[in-house]
Formats: sequence, C-alpha cells, structure tokens
Amino acid sequence: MTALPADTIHDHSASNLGRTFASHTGPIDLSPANTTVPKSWANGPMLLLLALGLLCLGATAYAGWSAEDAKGLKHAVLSYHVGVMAVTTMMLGSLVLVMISRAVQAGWSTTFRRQSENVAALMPLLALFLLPYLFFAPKVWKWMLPESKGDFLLLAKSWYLNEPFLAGRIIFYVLVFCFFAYKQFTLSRQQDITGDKALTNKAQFWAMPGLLFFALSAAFFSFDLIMSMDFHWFSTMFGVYFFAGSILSGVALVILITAILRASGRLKGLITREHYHDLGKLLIGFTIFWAYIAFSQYFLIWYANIPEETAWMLVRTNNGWQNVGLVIILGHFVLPFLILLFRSVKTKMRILVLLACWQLLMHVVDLFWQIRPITFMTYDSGNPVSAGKVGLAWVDFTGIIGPVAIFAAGIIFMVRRSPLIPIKDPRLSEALNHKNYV
Amino acid sequence: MSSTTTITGTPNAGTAQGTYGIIAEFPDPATTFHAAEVVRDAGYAKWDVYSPFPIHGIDEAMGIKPNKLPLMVGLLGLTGAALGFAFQFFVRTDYAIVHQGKPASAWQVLVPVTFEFGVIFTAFSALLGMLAFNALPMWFHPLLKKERFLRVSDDRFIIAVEAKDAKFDPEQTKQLLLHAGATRVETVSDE
Repeated sequence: MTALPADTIHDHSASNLGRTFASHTGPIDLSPANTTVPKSWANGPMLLLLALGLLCLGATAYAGWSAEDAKGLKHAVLSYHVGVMAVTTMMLGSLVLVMISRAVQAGWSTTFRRQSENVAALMPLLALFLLPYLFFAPKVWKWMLPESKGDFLLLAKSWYLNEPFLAGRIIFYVLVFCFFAYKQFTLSRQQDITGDKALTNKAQFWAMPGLLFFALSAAFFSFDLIMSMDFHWFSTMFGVYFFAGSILSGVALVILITAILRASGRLKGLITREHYHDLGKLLIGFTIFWAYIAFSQYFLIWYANIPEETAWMLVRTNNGWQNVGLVIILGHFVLPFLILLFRSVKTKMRILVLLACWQLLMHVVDLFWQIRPITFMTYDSGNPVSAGKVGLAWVDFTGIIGPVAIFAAGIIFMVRRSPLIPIKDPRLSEALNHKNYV
Repeated sequence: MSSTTTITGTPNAGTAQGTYGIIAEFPDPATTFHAAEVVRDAGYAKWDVYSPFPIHGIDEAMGIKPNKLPLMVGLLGLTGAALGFAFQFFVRTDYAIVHQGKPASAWQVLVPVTFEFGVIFTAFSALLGMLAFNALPMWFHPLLKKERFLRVSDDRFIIAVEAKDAKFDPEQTKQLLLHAGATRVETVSDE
C-alpha cells in the first residue's frame, strides 16, 4: 500500500499544518491492487455477455429472416432499433458527462471520470450497430417506402428526408461522436503515462467545441433516428428529450460501473460516500430534468391540439400503450424522485445502485414506448391511427438484449485496458479530498 | 504555550448580568479544530468557532447535528404543491368553464400551477427558514465590539462560549480553553 506523499495532497484543511486530522477518506491507496484490474479480470462474464449478445442478435436476425410477413421483419428490426438506441444514449450520456466535467474544470469527478471515458470510447460500436441498417432501412424509415413518395408532407420535407442526405448525416454524427470520445479518452490516457499537466488543458480545449457539436449532433441524431420514423410528426423538444434520457442513463451507468468495481475490491477510498452523494444528486437532478422535458413536450402537444402532432401521442396512449406510459411516469420519475429526495438514500450505495439500475431499465422502457408502437401501426393518409394492442414477444427481448449485452462486454473490455482512475491527473487530489459541506 | 498566555477581563464575573461569554484565541486551524473537539466533549451547547476561512470537518469536530431545514423545506414544498392543486381543483369544480375545447376533467392543465406552487414554496421556505434558523437579520452582536475579535477576518481563530450555556463557569471554561491550546482568553461584555 503506497500512501500519497502529504505534500502532493492539495488540501485547504489543516492536515499538513503539523497536527493531523482524522481523515474522512481513510488512507489513500493508489497501488495497482486498488487502481487496476488484471488483464484477465471478469473474463468469464465478458465472454458470457458477448455470447449472449451474439446469440440474441442471431435469434433476432433469424426472427426477421424467417418472418412470414413484413410485420414480423419490422418487429425484429424495431426491437433491435430500441436496443441500439439504448446503447447509443448511454454512450452519449457518458461522453457529455466527461466533456462537461472537463469544460468546467471539475475536480471532484476525476476519480470516476475514467469509467465514463471508457464507455464513451466504445462509440465505434455505434457505427458497427448501424451497419445492418443498410439492409432494412425502409423498415425503420417509412418515408423510404414507395407508397409514401406522393405524400404532400414528404414532398415538403424531401430536401431533408432523402436517402443520400440521411446517410451523409448519420456518417457525420458518428464521426463527430467518435472523434470527441477519442480525443477525451486518448488525452486522459496519455496523461496516465506522461503526467503532463498541459494535457488537462488540452482536454478542456477539446471539450468546448465538443459540447457544441454534441448538442447539435445529438439533437439531429434523435430527429433522424427516432423522430422521423413517423415523418408526419415533429417536436422541436425531441432533441432535448433524447438528451435528457441520455445524460440520465450516463450518470446511472457510471454509478453502476464504479459500484461493481468497488464490490470487486477496487477503488477503496478513491470513490467514496461523498462522490456517490453527488452522483445521487445528479441522478435526481436529471430525473427531474427528464420529467420536466417529457411533460413539456406532452403538454404543448396536448394544448395546441394540432392533428399531426397529437396523432403520435394518441396512438401511444391507447390500446394498452397508456399503461406503458403510466409505468414510465411512475417508474422513471415519481418513484425515483420521492426515494432520491432523501440524503440517506443518496449516501447508501446499495439503494443508489439499485435505483441507477432501475433508471437504466426505465430508460429502455421509455425508448421502447417511443419506437416499438410503430411496428403494428396502421395509417390513414399518412397519419398514424392505431398502434395495435400492446404486447411483448420474445423477439422484443432478444432485439434489446443483443446490443446491450455486447455493449456490456465492451465495457468490461475497456475497463481492464487502463487504470481505473486517471492516475496522474493534476486534479486527482481534489477528488480524493472531495467532501459535501451540506 | 501557557507561558505566553495573558488573561484579561474581570475575573469571576460569573454568569452575572453584562457578560456575553468568553472568547479564546487560537494560532492555527489545527489547534482550533482539536480545541473544538475538547469543547464539544465537555458538553457545551451554546458556543461557536470563528475562522477567516472554512475549516474542513469542523462540523463533526463541533458536534453539529444535521438541522431540520431540509425536512421543513420538503414538507412545505409538498404543502405548496397540494395547495396549488387544491386551488385549481376547487375553482374548476365550482366554476367550471370550458375553454380551448378541453374537457373539464383534464388533469394536464393542473400540472404547471401545481409544480410552480411547489417550487415557490420550496424556494421561499428554504430562504426564510435559513434566515430564521440563523436568527437573521441580526443588527447587533456583542462580539463585534471586541477589537481583537475582528481579527477572525484576517489571521485569528476564535472559539466563543456564551455565558448563557448551562455548563458555563467563568473559571472552569477559561481553564478548559487554555488547556485546549488557547493563546489568549478574554471575557466579553454583552453591551
């Protein structure tokens, strides 16, 4: 156990004024036993997750392939789409969390930032997951079908909604996300080796354009990948709605990953009760933000009562889909909000991790509610009329679990490749001494 | 340390009228921190630590318990939300007016006002509760008349024990603070 020399601890308290205080973080252990995992760590679970993911993807592909009608194929495709969007939002949430903490020179987040960087660095997975879309794009985007071509709204939007432009935009989004995730990850990793303080400034420099590009790219990504699936419908709030779900799942994911690492005996004294208290505050904050945005979107559509806007909500609040919506309102907002209000919950790791897992699950349900009703949608002159009875088939599970399990295996792969914390970050001591004074 | 100590003020002033309490000067935050632990363990209740900058962990050293403000704010926030809801609910049932073609039973319209009432009650109860718990605004404080006390905004650390405290005894309290490392102990009048 190597203790950090006292003079490297940037501490405003009196601990280096001759008499020592009882440390609230305990002895600081930066030895490899605490800050790294072996190269073969969690090999079993990783391979199991990878196998499960591939198996589920295979099953989904088989379900789509062997489907008797077009609806069966569409069902498989849209289930997969929900899974891919779930993975994407988690990666985007992690990326924006890293860039925000870099942009505002956050010190307290240093010890868990690496885990978010790892998740964001998996961004190339998005390109991989989007490749199969080349084969079934018209199943996702109805406007590509020949029967939609004469639609007057599509004619008006055709300068934007056309295949070459869409392909170009998606390539642009993926490149933007990958580039900024790569920048943040490599700059942080270089500092592990060189300890050069200038790299911190460089990471901050790249976070600024990163946030700007992210804001626009993520919003238009959601317009293109989810909103335009029903091209009659539009909501200017949708990008923010997508972002709110992303950052909420990003916070929940970093709580989950660090908790697993702590349970395996790492990060002792590096990510403390104090960090979880603040992550818990972020979790409740973005839970409220998500609910606020979700209701704002719903309320304006309800109030304005314009047919092409309300149709989207109507089909999702009928035929049993309203129960899914109710589960989301209660499960994604009311319940976590009331529980997370209490400080004792935010500082108790077990309940916090449970709530983080719950919010991740609810986030997937939220995406399911947005995307999956389109499968059995019937239309009248281009406007959605009914989403059909709500129901689940096994392909819904395999389609979602497939990408998510591969993503989880990817996280394990990334976690063991580098130290669990940015070991030579100049702001590390700030994070080690982090404490809530409330 | 005690060789450099000077004690001024009226000895054995007791808890007589006119005494605010005792102030003890400390040279550095570490000594102050440990002195606070001593005063806490001696069982004093009406006392405070003054410092030019925040001393990390002083809350625990002073034995300050989490206050009731969050609970109060939470309850008042919920009261506000309930009030905002009830307000609209009774207006809508007693004076139902159809507007914008919305059904009279629509719950959606109730949400914004309920939310805003909750937020406003939360914000105001937090602000006013904070002021009330801190006994603010306070126009006069005896300590501010003490020339030496003003150095807490510069380079001194001071523990002030009030005469109102049940355990307060002019001589014993002084000795306690000197043993805890005070470099100077003074009595403060409450005028």
